[in-house]
Amino acid sequence: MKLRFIAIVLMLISCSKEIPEINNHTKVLEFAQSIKTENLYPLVEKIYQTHINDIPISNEGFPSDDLFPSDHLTRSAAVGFVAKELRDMGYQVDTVICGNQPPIAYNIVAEIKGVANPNSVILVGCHLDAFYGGADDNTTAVAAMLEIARAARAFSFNKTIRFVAFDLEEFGSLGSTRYIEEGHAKDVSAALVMDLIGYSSNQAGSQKDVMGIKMPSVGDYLIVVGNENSAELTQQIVSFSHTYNISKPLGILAPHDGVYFMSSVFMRSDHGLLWYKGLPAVFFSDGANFRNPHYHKPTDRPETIHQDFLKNNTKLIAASLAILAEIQL
Amino acid sequence: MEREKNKSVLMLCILCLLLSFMATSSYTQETGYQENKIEIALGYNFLINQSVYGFNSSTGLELSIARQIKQSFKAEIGVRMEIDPILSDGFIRGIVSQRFGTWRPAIGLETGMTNRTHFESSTNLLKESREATLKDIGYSYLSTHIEPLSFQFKKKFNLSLLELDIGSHFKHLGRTMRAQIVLVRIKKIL
Repeated sequence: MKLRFIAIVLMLISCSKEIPEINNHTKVLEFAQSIKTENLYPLVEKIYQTHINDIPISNEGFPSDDLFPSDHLTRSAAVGFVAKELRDMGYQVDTVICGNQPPIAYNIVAEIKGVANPNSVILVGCHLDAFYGGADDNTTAVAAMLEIARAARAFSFNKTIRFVAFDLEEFGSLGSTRYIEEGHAKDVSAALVMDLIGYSSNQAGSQKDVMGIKMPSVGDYLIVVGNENSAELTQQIVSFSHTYNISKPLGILAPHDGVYFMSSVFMRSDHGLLWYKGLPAVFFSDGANFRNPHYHKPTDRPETIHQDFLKNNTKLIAASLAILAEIQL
Repeated sequence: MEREKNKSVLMLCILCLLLSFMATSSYTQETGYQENKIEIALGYNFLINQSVYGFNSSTGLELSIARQIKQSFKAEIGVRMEIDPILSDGFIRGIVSQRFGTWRPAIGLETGMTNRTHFESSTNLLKESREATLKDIGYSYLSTHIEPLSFQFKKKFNLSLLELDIGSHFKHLGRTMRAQIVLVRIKKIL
């Protein structure tokens, strides 16, 4: 019999905590609406091509199997692409090199300084490495981050926004783990992390239950995961989306801080160590291998991405950032 | 907040143990126990450690000495050794038991120090995440102890099968799971 740990998962709709006020709804919405649909999908196609035309890095020390094709991981061209895109937008781009043994991680970082509270940093992160072309995993999130970064140039925020494209997530969150362990995230006060945000399906049964957690079976929603440190923020995001019909999020709270031996499924991306360090972080995903049949396969191609789903999710993440970084009037 | 929670859990466990002791004592009918008697025990155990990014299992030998303090309560101290690599636990525990003829089931609470939590893997996958999330975990642990199949023969020997300990590292209680099965343990009552 399949175990169902429904008790440890709180669907946010039933949470009794009061949701904090969001000031400046109009400006948050304006920022979300400034996401240009016509920019997103071309970005997905371009980044996909950079992966396809790149040479896989050495997978020495990392086994290769069906769900983990480590001999097909590319990142070098994507590192260059993301850095150039951000630079072309006018950002000062840093390559934060992490690790002292192969594989070295090259994390791409760009910031918008906060106006009122520049020492409070909101991190927006996603990983840029991919197995095969990785259209959904994780080109969709990289495209979303780049488009949000482009849109953010026209607005001002009280807090500093730091965009980070993490390297080598597929090798066990190496890029983000080293970034945090080497002290580069000491000034981060909260984070939004994305990993696969472009695949949806209207078919019943398209969304599988996640490690015993009962999920709605039609996989047409964005999973928004928080823990006790990010519970209110997660509620805000879900509530804001419902109020203004931005996207279709399903909020889930990991038990306590999420760092439990039974909750490893909630830790499967670059937000994991941030949670461990006690930082409020919210994780966005379409459910990865529990929904997308192309996960970690050569068939993870741009034509499998649902463009409206990606667009709406990007708008919601942009709105989340505007709330968190306190967009100015 | 974490420390307060750990303290509350510890207090709750101690309270449960005392209540169990009081309840068991009041129902003890058998008079075969001999206070201040010493037990020496040798066992073979199988240990599983699970964290958010790691899993390991190992077997080891366990040597302990216990003293019967009350009719149904004894205190025990011991060591466990894993052979390859050589790693060890040192533990103390309080145990309450009830005798039903030969059958002598027992429950208790164990705490100790361990260096057997070594999440090694043949691959580098998640290695650094595992190290980052375990480096401050410490050595002390807390666990329950259950002896469901413990049998005493002629007031001299005790044979216990499939003893179960479920616990966690004391620091960040709940982030790791420590599950141990003592496959077999033989006790000599002196």
